[in-house]
Amino acid sequence: MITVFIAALETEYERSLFEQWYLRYRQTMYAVAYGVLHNREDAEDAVHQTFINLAEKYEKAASVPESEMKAFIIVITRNTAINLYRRNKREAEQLTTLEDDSEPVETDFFEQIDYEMLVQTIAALPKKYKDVLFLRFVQELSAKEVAELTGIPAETVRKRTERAKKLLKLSLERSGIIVS
Amino acid sequence: MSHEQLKKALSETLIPEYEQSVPETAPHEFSPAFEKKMKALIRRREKSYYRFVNTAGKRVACVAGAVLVLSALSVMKADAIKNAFRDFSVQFRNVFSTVRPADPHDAPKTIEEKYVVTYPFDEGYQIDYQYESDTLCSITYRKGDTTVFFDQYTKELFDADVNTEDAEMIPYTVDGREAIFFLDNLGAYHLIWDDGDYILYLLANVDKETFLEIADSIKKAE
Repeated sequence: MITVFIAALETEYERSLFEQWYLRYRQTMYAVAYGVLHNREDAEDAVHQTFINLAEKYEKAASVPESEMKAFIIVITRNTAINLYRRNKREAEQLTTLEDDSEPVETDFFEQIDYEMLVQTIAALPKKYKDVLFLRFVQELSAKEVAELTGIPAETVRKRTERAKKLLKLSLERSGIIVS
Repeated sequence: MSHEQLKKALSETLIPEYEQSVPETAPHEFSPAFEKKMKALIRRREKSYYRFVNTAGKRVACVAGAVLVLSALSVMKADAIKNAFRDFSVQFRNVFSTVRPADPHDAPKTIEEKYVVTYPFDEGYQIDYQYESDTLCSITYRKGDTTVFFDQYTKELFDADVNTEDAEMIPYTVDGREAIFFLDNLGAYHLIWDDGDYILYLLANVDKETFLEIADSIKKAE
């Protein structure tokens, strides 16, 4: 796929950064994609699609700190691969069975939680919730930006973010964490 | 609304977890088709199509995104747009519209006859970029902030996402075949057409008259 962009590049460094990502991460991305798709051609398609998405959101991707870049690319690749898998299988997005409280969870809630307990509870979350929390709160992407990078519809990203926060809160409450 | 602790906890938990989650596999030998597509994408990404200076005088990256909007000058119903691009399959998306040849299968797999731009550019223009492969020939002319891109693709390779935000679509034919011709919201004209064997794509931020003169000058190399 050839993608046409309208872009202005400041320096030669920027011109080669995209190629650096390709050379540095393509094997990792392929391994992640193959782990989801178990098909060589599909895995290559997922890697290619991920690079297209990264190119489309280049400014955002280029602002990810170097120390977080590998994790960022892994998450984007995995979700792109999952999206490709679902498209191939024509599966609809399965929403969780979590009861939908009409009240959104304020992120202030998590600021009052014991840090170690928060870390442990995060570690126990399902992968899809971890991914969306990572992209929304660590990379500070909007739902639309996550949608553009992963192919997951923006509304799904929003709902999944809310469900992730609710599940995290519920898990903390069930652990007996009392918020002061 | 603060989420510093949440952000810290997510970073410290998930970054190492993600990095350790990659399955251990032998290095993969990517297919030639993949390498070719990636090479083209990297070259495209590394090209600066044209530099835009915003009102603050800074260079900006303009990545447009919205659905196609019809111009008052050439009102076409949605069905008419889709029918107008008989030689192309156009999928309108939120960020770009994806354009592919409707039937790439019987076309040459490699570029056997090359097209060239014969327009007499004035002395201020220079060739800024040139690339040739079996499946893609690309040339860029530049003069200051004015840029002219011309690409020739095999049909199998061509699969473009084009900036159609607020685009003014213009009915146009090339050698009797309907082409995709529009003015984008950044002041550039796009012309994509199928000559039967290849896909040709001209993109330039010049006035319409000059653009069409350049388009008319594109011919098969002798």
